[in-house]
Amino acid sequence: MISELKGILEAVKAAGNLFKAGRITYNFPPETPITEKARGRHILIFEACRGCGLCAEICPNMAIQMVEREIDGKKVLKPQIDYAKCCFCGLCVDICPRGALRFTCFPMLVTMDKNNLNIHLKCWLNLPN
Amino acid sequence: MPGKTPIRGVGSWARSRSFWILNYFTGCCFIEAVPWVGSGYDMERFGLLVADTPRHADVLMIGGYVTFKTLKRIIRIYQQMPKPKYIIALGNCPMTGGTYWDSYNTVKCLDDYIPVDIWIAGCPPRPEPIGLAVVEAINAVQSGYLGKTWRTKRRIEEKTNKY
Repeated sequence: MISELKGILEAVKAAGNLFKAGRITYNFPPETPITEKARGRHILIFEACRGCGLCAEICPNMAIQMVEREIDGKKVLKPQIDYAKCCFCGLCVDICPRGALRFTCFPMLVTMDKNNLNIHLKCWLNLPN
Repeated sequence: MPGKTPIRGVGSWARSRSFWILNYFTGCCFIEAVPWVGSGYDMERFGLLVADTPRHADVLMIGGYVTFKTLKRIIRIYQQMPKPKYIIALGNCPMTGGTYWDSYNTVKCLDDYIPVDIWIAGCPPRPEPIGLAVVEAINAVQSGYLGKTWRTKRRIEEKTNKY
């Protein structure tokens, strides 16, 4: 008899602990757990990039193109990434001799027109949350 | 986050808050989409439910590479769905072929065969962009968006006769 009562008490205690535990569901989007190691969009630091084109050569998906752009009246080659092809392998970031290409942890790449994903890179340090 | 859009009519409002999804996943994108079923991300708060048959579904979710053999099934499923119908494509493979850009059998551009409404880039995409895509879809549908079906209907008929 006593052992049965103990069993019931334990069950009630376990149910009480569920109320203590709080909610599990994240609010969308501010609480979603994006780690800093996640690979998201690239940033390019313009002063460091020389336009050597190593990133375009090593890219396994042919996602990077070197594009002529005018900066302060000079024509220079800068990489342009097509995110419709990029597989976020990180080879371009590893091979960059000056560390100009870097990953951010910004994964949101959603469009209704897929031509929007062909993106000119620029230095974009102040990321929106 | 995209801004709020005006609600036009009761029908479009009701439609935007109750997407029933039919999953068609052939690749690794499925693993990244599954957390939305669990309590961590909880897709039912947006009104999303997984439909059993294409005749009950509003949204067809395609993830992973599409071969010419599975393309026939996708088009058949798409034709069975009632209007208005929407398609969400996950990952790079339906967009451009992705890593399989030189494969003999993968469909490089799914857009040629069926009208895709929302693209999610990534290889595979994280779970968060899927939520953003759903929010964008809700915003578009509640302001009266009916899908790209009417534009590409003739093109679908031409292509389905081919394969």
